[in-house]
Amino acid sequence: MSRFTAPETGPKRFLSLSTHARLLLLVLVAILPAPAVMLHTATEQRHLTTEAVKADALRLARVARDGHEQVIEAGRQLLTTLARLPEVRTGAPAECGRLLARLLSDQPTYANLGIAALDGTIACSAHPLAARMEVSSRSWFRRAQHAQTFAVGDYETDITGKRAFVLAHPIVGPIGAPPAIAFAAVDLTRFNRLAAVAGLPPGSTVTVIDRQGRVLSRFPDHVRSVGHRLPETRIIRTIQSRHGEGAVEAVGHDGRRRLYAFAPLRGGSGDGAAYVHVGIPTEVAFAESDALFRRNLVLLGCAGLLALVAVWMSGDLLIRRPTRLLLDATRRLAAGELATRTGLTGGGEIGELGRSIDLMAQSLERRDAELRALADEQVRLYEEAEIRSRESKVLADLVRDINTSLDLDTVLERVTEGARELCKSDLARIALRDPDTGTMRVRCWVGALAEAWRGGGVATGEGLGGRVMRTGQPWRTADCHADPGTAREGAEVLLDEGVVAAMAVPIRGPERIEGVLFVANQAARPFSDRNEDILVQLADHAAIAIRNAQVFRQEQAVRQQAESSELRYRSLYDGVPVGLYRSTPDGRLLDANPALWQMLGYPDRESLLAADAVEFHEHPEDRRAWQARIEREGQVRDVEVRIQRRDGQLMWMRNSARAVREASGRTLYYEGVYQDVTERKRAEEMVWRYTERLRVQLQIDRAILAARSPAEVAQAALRRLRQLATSVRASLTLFDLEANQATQLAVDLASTTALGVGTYLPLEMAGDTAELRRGRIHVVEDIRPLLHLRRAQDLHAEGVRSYMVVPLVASGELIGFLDVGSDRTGPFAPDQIELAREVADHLAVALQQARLQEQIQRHAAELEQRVAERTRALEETNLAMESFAYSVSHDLRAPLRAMHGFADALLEDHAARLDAEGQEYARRIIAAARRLDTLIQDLLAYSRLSHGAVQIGPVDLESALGAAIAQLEAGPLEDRGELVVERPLPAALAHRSTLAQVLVNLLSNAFKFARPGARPEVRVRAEGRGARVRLWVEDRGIGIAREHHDRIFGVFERLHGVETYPGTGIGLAIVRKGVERMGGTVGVLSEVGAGSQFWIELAGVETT
Amino acid sequence: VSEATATILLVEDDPNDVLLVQRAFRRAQVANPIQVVGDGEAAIEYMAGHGPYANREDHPLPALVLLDLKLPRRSGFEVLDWLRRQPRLRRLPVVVLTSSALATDIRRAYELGASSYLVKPLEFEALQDMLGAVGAYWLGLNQRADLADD
Repeated sequence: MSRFTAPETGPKRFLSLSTHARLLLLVLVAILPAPAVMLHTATEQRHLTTEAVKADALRLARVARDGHEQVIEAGRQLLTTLARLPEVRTGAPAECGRLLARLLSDQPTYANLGIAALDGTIACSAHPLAARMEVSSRSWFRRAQHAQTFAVGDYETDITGKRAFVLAHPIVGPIGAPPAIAFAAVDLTRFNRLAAVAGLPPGSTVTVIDRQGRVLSRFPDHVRSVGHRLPETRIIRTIQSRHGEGAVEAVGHDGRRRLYAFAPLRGGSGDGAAYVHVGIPTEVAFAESDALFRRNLVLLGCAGLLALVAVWMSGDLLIRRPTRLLLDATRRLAAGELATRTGLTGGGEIGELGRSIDLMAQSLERRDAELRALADEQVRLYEEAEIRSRESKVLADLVRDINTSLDLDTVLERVTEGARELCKSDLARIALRDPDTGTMRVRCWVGALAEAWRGGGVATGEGLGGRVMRTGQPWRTADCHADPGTAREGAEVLLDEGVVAAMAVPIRGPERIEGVLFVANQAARPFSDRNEDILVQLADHAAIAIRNAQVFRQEQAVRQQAESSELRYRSLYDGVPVGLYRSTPDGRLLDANPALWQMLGYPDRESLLAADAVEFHEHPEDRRAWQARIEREGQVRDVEVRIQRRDGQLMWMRNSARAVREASGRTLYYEGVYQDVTERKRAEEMVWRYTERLRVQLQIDRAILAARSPAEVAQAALRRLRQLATSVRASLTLFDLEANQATQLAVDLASTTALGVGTYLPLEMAGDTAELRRGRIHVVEDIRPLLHLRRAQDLHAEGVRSYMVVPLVASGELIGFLDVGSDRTGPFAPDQIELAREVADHLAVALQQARLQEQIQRHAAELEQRVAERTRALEETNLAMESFAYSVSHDLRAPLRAMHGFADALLEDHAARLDAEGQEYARRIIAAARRLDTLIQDLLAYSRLSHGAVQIGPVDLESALGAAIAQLEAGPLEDRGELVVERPLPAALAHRSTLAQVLVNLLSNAFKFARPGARPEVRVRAEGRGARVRLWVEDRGIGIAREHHDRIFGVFERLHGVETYPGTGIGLAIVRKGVERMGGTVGVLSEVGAGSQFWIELAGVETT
Repeated sequence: VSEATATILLVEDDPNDVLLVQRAFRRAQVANPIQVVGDGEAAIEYMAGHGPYANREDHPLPALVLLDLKLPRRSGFEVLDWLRRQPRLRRLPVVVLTSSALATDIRRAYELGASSYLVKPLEFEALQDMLGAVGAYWLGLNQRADLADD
């Protein structure tokens, strides 16, 4: 996880100026370089202008120089030409003077033209004034005379008063004629004109100076300064130092600053004895650039002003409104309205910002949706957990219920109802193996049950229950009609019942499948794996309970299940709090929402931000692992971590976070979400522990179920208990109430023991027996105080340091106790105690059951023995009866025969010696013997019917009647009367000879009890009564009073004297006994004087 | 064609029955000599020719044995069983004459090799008819096997 880090410094202190002021400032800063640039430009302009002016001045200077040189050249040509003129050569002064004057008027360049003689006198001159001048000292004269070639003289003031310089050329006269010097004075005022023509800017000067700095010519103030030395010493110095062209900026004599350009004029010596310099005033030269600069400044000022106004005006539109939008949006987002968007679409930073915020909001919204989905998922999870816990609870309740009841019907009802409740099914049924027939029979059901299931059994095979019985595996189908595995036996019945989805699980007995638990839905609601799991669990528990109930049908055992966990799951998700945060890679919290600091138990945001985020983790390396992962993958999703609250309490949090990185990939911070899942985790753990305990119980139950003897039961349970409770020793001690002692039934421990099975554990180590009887657990947290007892020493030697004694109470009776030893002193964990108690309770019931089972087996064995004895006695009685009958038939009749035989012999052989009375006596002896013989025969017949075997089969009534009639005809009855048989007679299930015997008796009675004097009429007919056949024997005899109807079927019951109607009184008893032995009934309809209608009813034979 | 000298051995313990049987034979005109023994053991000794019956002149081998079942010392069944295991005597016809009409007795008698089974009737007339028929059949019509050694 990340850390909750606070910034090292507080939030940046922004300028407290308003946006407007800041904008204006920005505009000002933005236009600040413009004046500088303008200044720079102006300077540059100035420089350029300076250069340009300099160039201009220089150009002017050159033009002046060139003009000067042209003048000199023109002068040289003029003077050369003059020197050749004859007028000049000959030297006629007047003539020469005229010529020169004429020339001068044509040449305004010149101030004067003349010829000087070698002595320095003027031979002729255009200006007459010059004729008396001495020129031999003049430079031009000396140079021309000396060099005898063209020469340029110094600048001087001409005789006419004009500033000029003189050109001279020697004249070679005709041979013999003295040489002379022609000269021409060039007027320097020409330069002024030149300057005027050149269009110099106002204030400009064009000055010609000589080397000494004397002004030779000056434009425009020619008169004032000519002849004076110039004060412009800098120019002079520059000129003097350079000997050539140049330019310099200097202050003129009139105080104005100018740019000066100069160029040497070729003087008489040609070495630039004079210079022309042109000065242009700087203010004039810079006037234009300065004006431009000023104008630009004004424009800039205007533009700046406009910009400020525009910024002021547009700031509101372009910045403040979007900013407000952004602010509003962020505030609303912060308030949780995650659907908020800025709606800013334009370009620029604000647009970008708006989009970023929108993206962020979108991301938040998505995250929020994910969180909501997560929450939903959690709700679902909790609901599921709740359903499971509810199911487990229902199952636990159910198991407790069925375990406490030993009444099979109650157990079956609860199991069936429970199955329906747990699986939410429409129907639920339970079929059990019938112990007599071995077939499965539906024993209990909830919901509809087709008639077909009630009578018939469920056979092992391909049908619903049959498959489960055959395979022993649970089976289910979403649609039993579409499922090819089901559409066999019983499918039509299921179809009639409207069953669609069905599931069946086996009820497993210790050796075989004892039954099938079946649930079904009449709609297309299939059963789930969970349904199957829970139904299998239920069936397993039911198997135990059913077996218990079956075995201990008459016993009322109370099963105390230590199942009392009251897990109350409140709705675990009432608004899962979501903590949001940002943290730095080094573990500082940058920000956290209220939910987070509240979750972590901090009073406010600041105190949370001040804390070290790394320490929130239970283990600091968790954070490192988390960080490594987020750096590697860019995000973590739904990791569950243990977080320590401010109060030190640990809580489970679900964390999702992502790394926010800059373009270079460096992580700026992490932003993430925390969700408190402690309750869910706790619930999960509880559910897990709870189901684990149930599982353990079930395993113990199974072990108990699989075990045979109480010792095996105990051993199986103890092994599991000791492993689960991580104890060193577990043993079970049972009280033998008759012997008034307690012995260990089973021991389970890692090492061998001196306290093995069968040894005696002193009761004083088990605490107060009365307390144990009340179900209290006796815990000895330290065995050492008991070490004076030898058994305690043994336990100590086995590593036991503390132990608990858990009572085994069954049906309110303390039957023993379970002791669990630990290798540590101190109290036992609640889990261990709970588990031990559960196991003890299960064991108590199981052992009690095992005991009772043994008892019942003993009873059964006794019963069996008694039955065998009785059977033997009965067989003996039967044998005695047989021998009695034998005696009767054999021995009793022998004297009778003798009486009869000898009475007969008397009558035959000695009739002559007997009188009539003697003969009558002999005849009475014979009659009495005959009657006694009949009685004996009837009694024998009755006895045989009562004891002999009667095998039933289809007998044709016709043939039986025939046999009876034959016997009657063979008998001694005198008056037969008339017999009418309504044919045909059907067949019936009977024993032929018995039936014949019955009919003989009925027929003989019918003939016998005729009305005196009337000829007997006997009618025999048969009628079908459903599946049975009734045979009537009807007479028209004397009839029987109603009150005698029941009596007449008894043995020796007679209604008439032997004299009237002879008989033994056994005939009808034989009839009833015989018919009853054949599974039939007898009856009579009769009135005195109205005849009798006897009937016998037997099972008919279905004709196929 | 009854052989008048063929002896009938009557095994009967009841003297009344002995008298009645002798009278019935007489009245039925069966004149053959009748030797009478009163118990099963005597019957076996007679037929074996032992003890008091060693003299065959006085006690000749019978041509027919009338055997009661309920006898002192050894029962009629025992006599029958013994007789049927003798090499030559086994060929002797034995007619059971008894008062028992029990099916078990009848079955057992035939299983042990009785030639016929008759129940003593109550009426003397019936007894006379019965024994007349026995004489006519077993001593007249019936072809007897010789009892001599092979």
